[in-house]
Amino acid sequence: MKALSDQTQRIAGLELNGLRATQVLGDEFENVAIPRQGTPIYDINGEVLFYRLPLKRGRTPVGYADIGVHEVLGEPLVATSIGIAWDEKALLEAGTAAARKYNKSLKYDEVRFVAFSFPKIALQFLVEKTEVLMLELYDWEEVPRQQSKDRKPLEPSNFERWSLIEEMPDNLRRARAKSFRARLAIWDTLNRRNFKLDVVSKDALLVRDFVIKLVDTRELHYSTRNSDHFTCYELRGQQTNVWCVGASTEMLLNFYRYTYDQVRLAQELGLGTLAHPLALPCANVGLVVTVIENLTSNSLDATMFTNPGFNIFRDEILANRPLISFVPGHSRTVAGYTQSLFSLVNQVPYKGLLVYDPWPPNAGVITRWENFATQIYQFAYSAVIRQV
Amino acid sequence: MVEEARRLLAGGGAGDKSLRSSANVGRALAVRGPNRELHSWFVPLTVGDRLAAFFQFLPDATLLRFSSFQRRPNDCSSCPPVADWLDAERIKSRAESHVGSGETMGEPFLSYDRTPDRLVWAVPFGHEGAARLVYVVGDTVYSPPTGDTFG
Repeated sequence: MKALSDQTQRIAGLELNGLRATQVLGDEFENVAIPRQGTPIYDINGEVLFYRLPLKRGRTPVGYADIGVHEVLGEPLVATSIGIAWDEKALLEAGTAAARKYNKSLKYDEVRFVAFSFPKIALQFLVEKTEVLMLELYDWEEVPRQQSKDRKPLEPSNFERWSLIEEMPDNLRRARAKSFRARLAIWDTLNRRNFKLDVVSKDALLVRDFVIKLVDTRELHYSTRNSDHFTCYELRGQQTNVWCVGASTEMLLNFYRYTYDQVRLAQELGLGTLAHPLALPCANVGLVVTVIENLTSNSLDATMFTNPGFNIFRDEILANRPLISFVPGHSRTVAGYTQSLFSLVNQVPYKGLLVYDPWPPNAGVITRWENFATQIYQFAYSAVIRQV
Repeated sequence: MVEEARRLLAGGGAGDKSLRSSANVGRALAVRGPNRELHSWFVPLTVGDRLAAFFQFLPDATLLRFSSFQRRPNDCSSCPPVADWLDAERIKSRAESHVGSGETMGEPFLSYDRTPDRLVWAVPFGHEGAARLVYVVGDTVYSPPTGDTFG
Protein backbone atom coordinates (compact mmCIF):
# COMPACT_ATOMS: atom_id res chain seq x y z
CA MET A 1 0.00 0.00 0.00
CA LYS A 2 1.22 3.45 -0.84
CA ALA A 3 2.13 5.85 1.98
CA LEU A 4 -0.62 8.33 2.71
CA SER A 5 1.61 11.22 1.68
CA ASP A 6 1.80 9.69 -1.82
CA GLN A 7 -1.97 9.45 -2.10
CA THR A 8 -2.95 13.03 -1.41
CA GLN A 9 -4.11 13.70 -4.98
CA ARG A 10 -6.25 10.57 -5.03
CA ILE A 11 -7.80 11.25 -1.63
CA ALA A 12 -8.40 14.89 -2.49
CA GLY A 13 -9.99 13.80 -5.77
CA LEU A 14 -12.38 11.40 -4.04
CA GLU A 15 -13.28 13.78 -1.23
CA LEU A 16 -13.75 16.89 -3.38
CA ASN A 17 -15.66 15.04 -6.08
CA GLY A 18 -17.90 13.46 -3.45
CA LEU A 19 -18.70 16.88 -2.04
CA ARG A 20 -19.18 18.27 -5.54
CA ALA A 21 -21.62 15.49 -6.45
CA THR A 22 -23.72 16.32 -3.38
CA GLN A 23 -23.47 20.05 -4.20
CA VAL A 24 -21.83 20.75 -0.83
CA LEU A 25 -19.22 22.34 -3.11
CA GLY A 26 -20.68 24.76 -5.62
CA ASP A 27 -20.06 25.55 -9.28
CA GLU A 28 -16.92 27.51 -8.40
CA PHE A 29 -15.17 24.15 -7.86
CA GLU A 30 -16.12 22.73 -11.26
CA ASN A 31 -13.11 21.84 -13.45
CA VAL A 32 -10.56 22.86 -10.84
CA ALA A 33 -7.33 20.85 -11.15
CA ILE A 34 -5.87 18.91 -8.22
CA PRO A 35 -2.04 18.60 -8.22
CA ARG A 36 -0.06 15.46 -7.39
CA GLN A 37 1.79 17.11 -4.54
CA GLY A 38 1.23 19.81 -2.00
CA THR A 39 2.98 21.64 0.80
CA PRO A 40 3.56 19.64 3.99
CA ILE A 41 2.14 21.44 7.04
CA TYR A 42 3.73 20.34 10.30
CA ASP A 43 2.51 20.27 13.87
CA ILE A 44 4.89 22.09 16.21
CA ASN A 45 6.01 18.68 17.51
CA GLY A 46 7.57 18.03 14.08
CA GLU A 47 5.07 15.54 12.64
CA VAL A 48 3.29 16.26 9.36
CA LEU A 49 -0.39 17.04 9.98
CA PHE A 50 -1.66 17.62 6.46
CA TYR A 51 -0.69 18.61 2.92
CA ARG A 52 -2.01 21.81 1.38
CA LEU A 53 -2.70 21.21 -2.31
CA PRO A 54 -2.96 24.31 -4.49
CA LEU A 55 -6.08 24.17 -6.68
CA LYS A 56 -5.79 25.70 -10.14
CA ARG A 57 -8.06 26.58 -13.01
CA GLY A 58 -5.82 26.41 -16.05
CA ARG A 59 -2.61 28.02 -14.85
CA THR A 60 -4.31 30.32 -12.36
CA PRO A 61 -4.19 29.38 -8.66
CA VAL A 62 -7.73 29.68 -7.31
CA GLY A 63 -7.75 27.94 -3.94
CA TYR A 64 -6.48 24.99 -1.95
CA ALA A 65 -7.44 21.70 -0.33
CA ASP A 66 -5.95 20.49 2.94
CA ILE A 67 -5.55 16.71 2.99
CA GLY A 68 -4.80 15.22 6.38
CA VAL A 69 -2.23 12.49 6.87
CA HIS A 70 -2.36 12.45 10.67
CA GLU A 71 -5.20 10.53 12.28
CA VAL A 72 -5.65 13.17 14.96
CA LEU A 73 -7.51 15.25 12.36
CA GLY A 74 -10.38 12.74 12.27
CA GLU A 75 -11.06 13.06 8.52
CA PRO A 76 -8.75 13.15 5.50
CA LEU A 77 -10.29 16.31 4.05
CA VAL A 78 -9.49 19.04 6.55
CA ALA A 79 -10.58 22.11 4.60
CA THR A 80 -10.95 23.50 1.12
CA SER A 81 -11.39 26.98 -0.19
CA ILE A 82 -11.83 28.82 -3.45
CA GLY A 83 -10.87 32.49 -3.47
CA ILE A 84 -7.65 32.36 -1.47
CA ALA A 85 -4.88 31.00 -3.68
CA TRP A 86 -1.99 29.01 -2.22
CA ASP A 87 1.42 29.83 -3.71
CA GLU A 88 4.13 28.09 -1.70
CA LYS A 89 7.02 29.64 -3.60
CA ALA A 90 5.74 33.21 -3.24
CA LEU A 91 5.09 32.70 0.46
CA LEU A 92 8.60 31.34 1.04
CA GLU A 93 10.08 34.36 -0.72
CA ALA A 94 7.95 36.82 1.21
CA GLY A 95 8.59 35.04 4.51
CA THR A 96 12.32 34.87 3.95
CA ALA A 97 12.43 38.59 3.12
CA ALA A 98 10.48 39.32 6.30
CA ALA A 99 12.83 37.12 8.33
CA ARG A 100 15.81 39.13 7.06
CA LYS A 101 14.21 42.24 8.52
CA TYR A 102 14.22 40.61 11.96
CA ASN A 103 17.77 39.36 11.62
CA LYS A 104 19.93 40.28 8.65
CA SER A 105 22.42 37.53 9.41
CA LEU A 106 19.79 34.86 10.03
CA LYS A 107 21.14 31.42 9.25
CA TYR A 108 18.92 28.39 8.65
CA ASP A 109 19.10 25.09 6.81
CA GLU A 110 15.38 24.28 6.59
CA VAL A 111 12.08 26.14 6.38
CA ARG A 112 8.76 24.50 7.28
CA PHE A 113 5.15 25.51 7.20
CA VAL A 114 3.85 24.86 10.71
CA ALA A 115 0.30 24.83 12.07
CA PHE A 116 1.50 26.57 15.23
CA SER A 117 -2.05 27.12 16.48
CA PHE A 118 -4.22 24.90 14.30
CA PRO A 119 -5.41 25.97 11.77
CA LYS A 120 -3.19 29.11 11.87
CA ILE A 121 0.02 28.61 9.91
CA ALA A 122 3.52 30.09 10.30
CA LEU A 123 6.89 29.74 8.61
CA GLN A 124 9.44 28.06 10.85
CA PHE A 125 13.16 28.60 10.21
CA LEU A 126 15.40 25.85 11.59
CA VAL A 127 19.06 24.99 11.98
CA GLU A 128 19.73 21.28 12.48
CA LYS A 129 16.04 20.70 13.34
CA THR A 130 16.08 23.48 15.96
CA GLU A 131 13.91 26.54 15.50
CA VAL A 132 15.61 29.90 15.15
CA LEU A 133 12.58 31.98 14.14
CA MET A 134 8.84 31.55 13.49
CA LEU A 135 6.77 34.11 11.58
CA GLU A 136 3.00 33.95 11.16
CA LEU A 137 1.92 33.75 7.52
CA TYR A 138 0.89 36.92 5.69
CA ASP A 139 1.43 39.47 8.51
CA TRP A 140 4.91 38.06 9.25
CA GLU A 141 4.71 38.78 12.98
CA GLU A 142 7.04 36.68 15.14
CA VAL A 143 5.26 33.89 17.00
CA PRO A 144 6.30 34.01 20.70
CA ARG A 145 8.15 30.98 22.00
CA GLN A 146 6.68 30.89 25.48
CA GLN A 147 3.55 28.84 26.11
CA SER A 148 1.11 29.54 28.93
CA LYS A 149 1.15 27.10 31.82
CA ASP A 150 -1.67 25.75 33.94
CA ARG A 151 -4.26 25.97 31.20
CA LYS A 152 -6.59 23.26 29.98
CA PRO A 153 -5.58 21.30 26.84
CA LEU A 154 -6.95 22.69 23.57
CA GLU A 155 -7.68 26.08 25.18
CA PRO A 156 -4.67 28.20 24.19
CA SER A 157 -4.56 31.96 24.52
CA ASN A 158 -4.45 34.17 21.43
CA PHE A 159 -1.32 33.88 19.31
CA GLU A 160 0.01 31.09 21.55
CA ARG A 161 1.76 28.16 19.90
CA TRP A 162 0.43 24.75 20.82
CA SER A 163 0.48 21.21 19.50
CA LEU A 164 -2.76 19.71 18.20
CA ILE A 165 -1.20 16.26 18.34
CA GLU A 166 0.17 16.56 21.87
CA GLU A 167 -2.87 18.23 23.41
CA MET A 168 -5.57 16.00 21.99
CA PRO A 169 -7.17 14.03 24.89
CA ASP A 170 -6.77 10.26 24.54
CA ASN A 171 -10.48 9.47 24.17
CA LEU A 172 -10.88 12.08 21.45
CA ARG A 173 -7.70 10.93 19.74
CA ARG A 174 -8.99 7.35 19.62
CA ALA A 175 -12.37 8.43 18.26
CA ARG A 176 -10.76 10.60 15.61
CA ALA A 177 -8.33 7.88 14.59
CA LYS A 178 -11.22 5.48 14.19
CA SER A 179 -13.22 7.83 11.96
CA PHE A 180 -10.09 8.72 9.97
CA ARG A 181 -9.38 5.05 9.24
CA ALA A 182 -13.04 4.35 8.47
CA ARG A 183 -13.08 7.08 5.85
CA LEU A 184 -9.85 5.81 4.26
CA ALA A 185 -11.27 2.30 4.25
CA ILE A 186 -14.17 3.54 2.10
CA TRP A 187 -11.74 5.02 -0.40
CA ASP A 188 -9.56 1.88 -0.32
CA THR A 189 -12.49 -0.16 -1.63
CA LEU A 190 -12.33 1.97 -4.77
CA ASN A 191 -8.66 1.28 -5.52
CA ARG A 192 -9.40 -0.67 -8.69
CA ARG A 193 -11.82 1.90 -10.02
CA ASN A 194 -10.50 4.04 -12.77
CA PHE A 195 -11.82 7.44 -11.73
CA LYS A 196 -10.42 10.67 -13.08
CA LEU A 197 -9.30 12.23 -9.83
CA ASP A 198 -7.00 15.06 -10.91
CA VAL A 199 -9.91 17.39 -11.55
CA VAL A 200 -13.12 18.31 -9.69
CA SER A 201 -16.29 17.54 -11.61
CA LYS A 202 -19.83 16.92 -10.47
CA ASP A 203 -19.93 13.81 -12.64
CA ALA A 204 -16.52 12.38 -11.75
CA LEU A 205 -17.93 9.65 -9.50
CA LEU A 206 -20.90 8.89 -11.71
CA VAL A 207 -19.65 5.87 -13.64
CA ARG A 208 -21.35 2.70 -14.71
CA ASP A 209 -21.88 -0.06 -12.13
CA PHE A 210 -20.82 2.18 -9.31
CA VAL A 211 -23.11 3.55 -6.63
CA ILE A 212 -21.82 5.65 -3.79
CA LYS A 213 -24.23 6.67 -1.10
CA LEU A 214 -23.94 10.41 -0.68
CA VAL A 215 -27.14 11.07 1.22
CA ASP A 216 -29.15 9.03 3.70
CA THR A 217 -32.81 9.90 3.28
CA ARG A 218 -36.24 8.35 3.76
CA GLU A 219 -39.87 9.39 3.68
CA LEU A 220 -42.91 7.49 4.90
CA HIS A 221 -44.06 4.78 2.51
CA TYR A 222 -46.95 2.38 2.47
CA SER A 223 -44.79 0.02 4.55
CA THR A 224 -41.19 -0.33 5.67
CA ARG A 225 -40.35 -1.59 2.16
CA ASN A 226 -38.83 1.30 0.29
CA SER A 227 -40.08 -0.17 -2.97
CA ASP A 228 -43.67 0.47 -1.80
CA HIS A 229 -45.32 3.64 -2.97
CA PHE A 230 -45.10 6.92 -1.12
CA THR A 231 -46.08 9.54 0.00
CA CYS A 232 -48.54 7.86 2.32
CA TYR A 233 -49.12 10.97 4.35
CA GLU A 234 -51.35 14.02 4.16
CA LEU A 235 -51.15 17.59 5.43
CA ARG A 236 -53.91 19.07 7.60
CA GLY A 237 -54.01 22.78 8.35
CA GLN A 238 -54.98 23.74 11.88
CA GLN A 239 -58.56 24.99 11.98
CA THR A 240 -57.88 27.73 14.54
CA ASN A 241 -54.77 29.67 15.44
CA VAL A 242 -54.33 27.53 18.62
CA TRP A 243 -55.10 24.03 17.38
CA CYS A 244 -51.71 22.92 16.09
CA VAL A 245 -51.70 19.98 18.53
CA GLY A 246 -55.14 18.91 17.33
CA ALA A 247 -54.09 19.12 13.69
CA SER A 248 -50.84 17.25 14.37
CA THR A 249 -52.69 14.48 16.19
CA GLU A 250 -55.17 14.31 13.31
CA MET A 251 -52.32 13.83 10.81
CA LEU A 252 -50.74 11.04 12.86
CA LEU A 253 -54.04 9.24 13.39
CA ASN A 254 -55.01 9.63 9.70
CA PHE A 255 -51.79 7.82 8.80
CA TYR A 256 -53.08 4.80 10.73
CA ARG A 257 -56.53 5.24 9.05
CA TYR A 258 -58.29 6.65 12.10
CA THR A 259 -60.52 9.53 11.08
CA TYR A 260 -61.10 11.98 13.90
CA ASP A 261 -61.67 15.62 13.04
CA GLN A 262 -60.08 18.47 14.92
CA VAL A 263 -63.30 19.39 16.74
CA ARG A 264 -63.43 15.94 18.31
CA LEU A 265 -59.69 15.90 19.01
CA ALA A 266 -59.97 19.32 20.65
CA GLN A 267 -62.62 17.88 22.93
CA GLU A 268 -60.28 15.05 23.95
CA LEU A 269 -57.23 17.27 24.30
CA GLY A 270 -59.01 20.03 26.23
CA LEU A 271 -58.63 22.55 23.41
CA GLY A 272 -62.13 24.04 23.64
CA THR A 273 -64.45 24.47 20.68
CA LEU A 274 -64.25 26.12 17.26
CA ALA A 275 -66.00 29.17 18.70
CA HIS A 276 -63.81 29.26 21.84
CA PRO A 277 -60.56 27.46 21.00
CA LEU A 278 -57.79 26.96 23.56
CA ALA A 279 -54.12 26.09 23.27
CA LEU A 280 -52.56 23.08 24.99
CA PRO A 281 -50.91 24.15 28.26
CA CYS A 282 -47.30 22.97 28.64
CA ALA A 283 -48.31 21.07 31.74
CA ASN A 284 -50.57 18.86 29.60
CA VAL A 285 -48.02 17.60 27.07
CA GLY A 286 -48.52 14.04 28.32
CA LEU A 287 -52.15 14.18 27.25
CA VAL A 288 -51.18 13.56 23.63
CA VAL A 289 -50.10 10.01 24.53
CA THR A 290 -53.31 9.35 26.43
CA VAL A 291 -55.53 10.63 23.63
CA ILE A 292 -53.79 8.65 20.89
CA GLU A 293 -54.10 5.45 22.91
CA ASN A 294 -57.70 6.10 24.00
CA LEU A 295 -58.97 6.99 20.55
CA THR A 296 -57.46 3.83 19.08
CA SER A 297 -58.68 1.58 21.89
CA ASN A 298 -55.02 1.04 22.73
CA SER A 299 -54.28 -0.40 19.30
CA LEU A 300 -51.61 2.27 19.12
CA ASP A 301 -48.99 2.34 21.83
CA ALA A 302 -47.83 5.98 21.98
CA THR A 303 -44.52 7.21 23.37
CA MET A 304 -43.35 10.71 24.28
CA PHE A 305 -39.67 11.63 23.80
CA THR A 306 -38.24 14.61 25.68
CA ASN A 307 -35.60 16.71 23.85
CA PRO A 308 -35.45 14.25 20.93
CA GLY A 309 -32.24 14.04 18.96
CA PHE A 310 -32.02 13.49 15.21
CA ASN A 311 -31.62 9.73 15.67
CA ILE A 312 -35.07 9.47 17.29
CA PHE A 313 -36.65 11.00 14.18
CA ARG A 314 -34.49 8.90 11.83
CA ASP A 315 -35.20 5.61 13.61
CA GLU A 316 -38.96 6.20 13.71
CA ILE A 317 -39.10 7.10 10.01
CA LEU A 318 -37.02 4.02 9.20
CA ALA A 319 -39.67 2.02 11.07
CA ASN A 320 -42.28 3.82 8.90
CA ARG A 321 -43.83 5.75 11.76
CA PRO A 322 -44.66 9.48 11.62
CA LEU A 323 -43.94 11.65 14.63
CA ILE A 324 -45.56 14.64 16.24
CA SER A 325 -42.86 17.23 16.99
CA PHE A 326 -43.24 19.98 19.59
CA VAL A 327 -41.05 23.07 19.20
CA PRO A 328 -41.43 26.17 21.39
CA GLY A 329 -45.09 27.20 21.23
CA HIS A 330 -45.92 24.98 18.27
CA SER A 331 -46.58 21.44 17.12
CA ARG A 332 -46.06 19.82 13.72
CA THR A 333 -45.52 16.32 12.34
CA VAL A 334 -42.45 14.72 10.78
CA ALA A 335 -42.70 12.36 7.81
CA GLY A 336 -39.13 12.05 6.57
CA TYR A 337 -35.48 12.83 7.15
CA THR A 338 -32.33 13.46 5.18
CA GLN A 339 -28.71 13.63 6.17
CA SER A 340 -25.60 14.28 4.15
CA LEU A 341 -22.96 11.57 4.44
CA PHE A 342 -20.31 13.99 3.21
CA SER A 343 -19.08 17.08 5.01
CA LEU A 344 -15.95 19.05 5.73
CA VAL A 345 -14.10 18.24 8.92
CA ASN A 346 -15.34 20.24 11.92
CA GLN A 347 -18.54 20.99 10.03
CA VAL A 348 -21.71 19.23 11.06
CA PRO A 349 -23.17 17.26 8.12
CA TYR A 350 -26.50 18.67 6.97
CA LYS A 351 -29.48 17.08 8.68
CA GLY A 352 -33.03 17.92 7.76
CA LEU A 353 -36.58 16.84 8.54
CA LEU A 354 -39.59 16.63 6.26
CA VAL A 355 -42.16 18.56 8.29
CA TYR A 356 -45.91 18.62 7.71
CA ASP A 357 -46.72 21.84 9.49
CA PRO A 358 -50.35 22.79 10.21
CA TRP A 359 -49.39 26.49 10.27
CA PRO A 360 -50.75 28.77 8.81
CA PRO A 361 -54.34 28.08 9.89
CA ASN A 362 -56.58 26.35 7.35
CA ALA A 363 -53.64 25.80 5.00
CA GLY A 364 -50.41 24.39 6.44
CA VAL A 365 -47.11 23.92 4.63
CA ILE A 366 -44.86 21.03 3.74
CA THR A 367 -41.29 21.89 4.67
CA ARG A 368 -38.64 19.96 2.76
CA TRP A 369 -36.27 20.26 4.57
CA GLU A 370 -36.18 21.87 7.97
CA ASN A 371 -32.57 22.45 8.98
CA PHE A 372 -32.24 20.35 12.14
CA ALA A 373 -29.43 22.52 13.47
CA THR A 374 -31.63 25.61 13.60
CA GLN A 375 -34.63 24.36 15.56
CA ILE A 376 -35.27 23.51 19.23
CA TYR A 377 -36.99 20.15 19.58
CA GLN A 378 -38.78 19.91 22.93
CA PHE A 379 -40.94 16.80 22.63
CA ALA A 380 -41.74 14.17 20.05
CA TYR A 381 -44.43 11.51 19.94
CA SER A 382 -44.68 8.34 17.95
CA ALA A 383 -47.05 5.40 18.01
CA VAL A 384 -46.49 1.69 17.45
CA ILE A 385 -49.28 -0.63 16.37
CA ARG A 386 -49.76 -3.38 18.93
CA GLN A 387 -49.52 -6.75 17.23
CA VAL A 388 -50.76 -10.14 18.32
CA MET B 1 -30.89 35.85 -0.52
CA VAL B 2 -32.89 36.06 -3.74
CA GLU B 3 -29.89 34.84 -5.73
CA GLU B 4 -29.38 31.96 -3.32
CA ALA B 5 -33.07 31.08 -3.64
CA ARG B 6 -32.80 31.12 -7.44
CA ARG B 7 -29.69 28.95 -7.28
CA LEU B 8 -31.35 26.38 -5.02
CA LEU B 9 -34.46 26.28 -7.16
CA ALA B 10 -32.60 26.01 -10.46
CA GLY B 11 -30.17 23.41 -9.11
CA GLY B 12 -32.91 21.15 -7.78
CA GLY B 13 -31.92 21.78 -4.16
CA ALA B 14 -35.48 22.89 -3.44
CA GLY B 15 -38.85 22.65 -5.17
CA ASP B 16 -39.89 20.40 -8.02
CA LYS B 17 -39.84 20.59 -11.82
CA SER B 18 -43.17 22.40 -12.05
CA LEU B 19 -42.03 25.13 -9.65
CA ARG B 20 -38.74 25.51 -11.51
CA SER B 21 -40.58 26.22 -14.73
CA SER B 22 -43.50 28.28 -13.41
CA ALA B 23 -42.57 30.10 -10.21
CA ASN B 24 -41.36 33.67 -9.85
CA VAL B 25 -38.86 34.40 -7.10
CA GLY B 26 -40.05 37.52 -5.28
CA ARG B 27 -38.06 40.06 -3.33
CA ALA B 28 -36.77 39.06 0.09
CA LEU B 29 -38.68 40.31 3.12
CA ALA B 30 -37.09 40.66 6.56
CA VAL B 31 -38.60 38.46 9.26
CA ARG B 32 -38.28 40.32 12.55
CA GLY B 33 -38.68 39.19 16.13
CA PRO B 34 -41.28 40.80 18.39
CA ASN B 35 -38.76 43.54 19.24
CA ARG B 36 -38.12 44.08 15.54
CA GLU B 37 -34.67 42.54 15.59
CA LEU B 38 -33.78 40.82 12.30
CA HIS B 39 -34.32 37.09 12.58
CA SER B 40 -34.31 35.79 9.02
CA TRP B 41 -35.29 36.48 5.40
CA PHE B 42 -38.45 35.29 3.68
CA VAL B 43 -38.18 34.76 -0.08
CA PRO B 44 -41.56 34.03 -1.73
CA LEU B 45 -42.17 31.85 -4.80
CA THR B 46 -45.35 32.85 -6.58
CA VAL B 47 -47.28 31.16 -9.37
CA GLY B 48 -49.77 33.61 -10.86
CA ASP B 49 -51.70 35.17 -7.98
CA ARG B 50 -50.84 32.35 -5.59
CA LEU B 51 -48.07 31.99 -3.03
CA ALA B 52 -46.81 28.52 -3.88
CA ALA B 53 -43.82 28.24 -1.57
CA PHE B 54 -41.14 30.19 0.24
CA PHE B 55 -37.58 30.01 1.47
CA GLN B 56 -36.50 31.18 4.89
CA PHE B 57 -32.83 32.04 5.34
CA LEU B 58 -30.88 33.12 8.40
CA PRO B 59 -29.04 36.46 7.98
CA ASP B 60 -25.80 34.57 7.14
CA ALA B 61 -27.68 32.88 4.24
CA THR B 62 -28.02 29.53 6.04
CA LEU B 63 -31.15 27.87 4.69
CA LEU B 64 -33.61 27.52 7.55
CA ARG B 65 -36.28 25.83 5.47
CA PHE B 66 -38.03 25.52 2.15
CA SER B 67 -41.78 25.26 2.63
CA SER B 68 -44.47 24.63 0.06
CA PHE B 69 -48.22 25.21 0.18
CA GLN B 70 -48.66 22.76 -2.69
CA ARG B 71 -50.11 19.40 -1.73
CA ARG B 72 -49.14 17.92 -5.10
CA PRO B 73 -46.74 18.97 -7.83
CA ASN B 74 -48.22 21.55 -10.15
CA ASP B 75 -51.32 21.96 -7.94
CA CYS B 76 -51.86 25.47 -6.59
CA SER B 77 -55.44 24.95 -5.45
CA SER B 78 -54.37 24.85 -1.81
CA CYS B 79 -52.02 27.83 -2.08
CA PRO B 80 -53.08 31.14 -0.48
CA PRO B 81 -53.51 34.33 -2.51
CA VAL B 82 -50.25 36.30 -2.80
CA ALA B 83 -51.99 39.40 -1.46
CA ASP B 84 -52.77 37.66 1.84
CA TRP B 85 -49.06 37.39 2.49
CA LEU B 86 -47.40 40.20 0.61
CA ASP B 87 -49.85 43.12 0.37
CA ALA B 88 -49.49 45.45 3.37
CA GLU B 89 -52.86 47.08 2.68
CA ARG B 90 -54.61 43.68 2.74
CA ILE B 91 -52.87 42.86 6.03
CA LYS B 92 -53.90 46.21 7.53
CA SER B 93 -57.51 45.86 6.42
CA ARG B 94 -57.65 42.44 8.11
CA ALA B 95 -56.22 43.92 11.33
CA GLU B 96 -58.75 46.79 11.38
CA SER B 97 -61.33 44.67 13.14
CA HIS B 98 -59.02 44.58 16.19
CA VAL B 99 -58.42 48.34 16.49
CA GLY B 100 -59.47 49.57 19.92
CA SER B 101 -60.97 52.98 20.57
CA GLY B 102 -58.46 55.76 20.07
CA GLU B 103 -55.80 53.36 18.80
CA THR B 104 -53.76 54.07 15.70
CA MET B 105 -52.37 51.38 13.43
CA GLY B 106 -48.67 51.30 12.48
CA GLU B 107 -46.94 49.64 9.55
CA PRO B 108 -47.09 45.84 9.62
CA PHE B 109 -43.88 43.84 9.67
CA LEU B 110 -43.31 40.17 8.96
CA SER B 111 -42.67 38.38 12.24
CA TYR B 112 -43.41 35.10 14.00
CA ASP B 113 -45.51 33.85 16.87
CA ARG B 114 -43.06 32.29 19.38
CA THR B 115 -41.33 30.03 16.87
CA PRO B 116 -40.10 30.98 13.37
CA ASP B 117 -42.34 28.22 12.00
CA ARG B 118 -45.36 30.36 12.77
CA LEU B 119 -44.89 33.26 10.42
CA VAL B 120 -47.31 36.13 10.97
CA TRP B 121 -47.63 39.78 10.07
CA ALA B 122 -47.30 41.82 13.26
CA VAL B 123 -49.40 44.97 13.18
CA PRO B 124 -48.51 47.55 15.84
CA PHE B 125 -51.33 49.43 17.54
CA GLY B 126 -50.67 52.47 19.75
CA HIS B 127 -52.67 54.72 22.05
CA GLU B 128 -51.29 57.41 24.40
CA GLY B 129 -47.87 55.83 24.68
CA ALA B 130 -49.13 52.27 25.13
CA ALA B 131 -48.31 49.83 22.35
CA ARG B 132 -49.43 46.32 21.45
CA LEU B 133 -49.21 43.96 18.51
CA VAL B 134 -51.89 42.11 16.63
CA TYR B 135 -50.96 39.13 14.47
CA VAL B 136 -52.41 38.54 11.02
CA VAL B 137 -51.94 35.32 9.08
CA GLY B 138 -54.19 34.73 6.11
CA ASP B 139 -57.69 35.55 7.32
CA THR B 140 -56.83 34.76 10.94
CA VAL B 141 -56.30 37.76 13.23
CA TYR B 142 -55.35 37.39 16.90
CA SER B 143 -53.45 38.87 19.80
CA PRO B 144 -50.09 37.35 20.80
CA PRO B 145 -50.76 34.49 23.21
CA THR B 146 -49.74 34.72 26.83
CA GLY B 147 -48.63 31.80 28.99
CA ASP B 148 -46.75 28.63 28.15
CA THR B 149 -48.83 26.79 25.63
CA PHE B 150 -48.57 24.88 22.40
CA GLY B 151 -51.01 26.20 19.88
